[in-house]
Amino acid sequence: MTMSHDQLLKKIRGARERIWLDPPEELPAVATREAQGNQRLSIWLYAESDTRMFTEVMYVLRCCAMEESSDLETMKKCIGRLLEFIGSVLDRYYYQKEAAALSLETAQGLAAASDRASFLRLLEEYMLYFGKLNYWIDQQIPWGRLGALADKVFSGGN
Amino acid sequence: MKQLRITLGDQVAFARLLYDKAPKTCRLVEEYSPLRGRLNHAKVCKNEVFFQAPFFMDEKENPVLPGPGDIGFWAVRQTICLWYGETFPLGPTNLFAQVTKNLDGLAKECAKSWQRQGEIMTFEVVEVADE
Repeated sequence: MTMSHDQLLKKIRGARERIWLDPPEELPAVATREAQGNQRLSIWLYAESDTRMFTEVMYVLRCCAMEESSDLETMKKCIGRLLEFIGSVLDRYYYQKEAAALSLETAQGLAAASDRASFLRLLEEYMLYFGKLNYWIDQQIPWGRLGALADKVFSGGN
Repeated sequence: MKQLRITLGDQVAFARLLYDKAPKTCRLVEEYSPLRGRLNHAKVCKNEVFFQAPFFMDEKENPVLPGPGDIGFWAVRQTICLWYGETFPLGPTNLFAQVTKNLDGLAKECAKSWQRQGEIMTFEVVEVADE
């Protein structure tokens, strides 16, 4: 890893600040592929649910990592592997290349963290960024219209 | 007296900050004020909107179930939630403010976000003359 801890923190924060009020530039790439029926709704729904699930898992693991009784090296491996997995999903399923790269960089940064405090600081900065990404994906889905349509389908209508 | 000024669309509402019940959460909101975020609408609860905050707050303060006009901080997602009508809540959050002025107007704007998410909501801690 060539970036220092502070440099990586700054990079993740910068990424989060860029998408705080404006969507990630690569967000439309989620719709790159078509799913069955030549539609993209299922991809957006899975992107939202996958990223939401990841944020919640990270929250639980962060809670564990905050406890002094938890072994830091184990938490590094566990959360690092999770971020590698997240990066892989972001890249291969949803074509979010920059987000994927940042996830992998963060995984490396977590592995290199010198102590629990710096580990948590890095994880939290990443969680703030990643949580925002999930909320952007969520905002692409027209829940209101879909909900009304789905109710018709569920009730046997066309 | 410090209050929360909430802006959404062309509506401005005010909320009382519950410093006595959720002091640390209120102080964080004040420290990061103005807070601005793109609004998402809740998918499992009725009459709830939310936006992400740029901070963590793990300590439980005033963990009560919300009702109309309540504003809480959800630690799991570092998110500020606002309930603008009757709801069947999922669970308690750190309830740190309550809307005291123009909930009706705010509710009308919040409801729009079910059809179209993404409007910017702003929270500002401001000094308001005591009435």
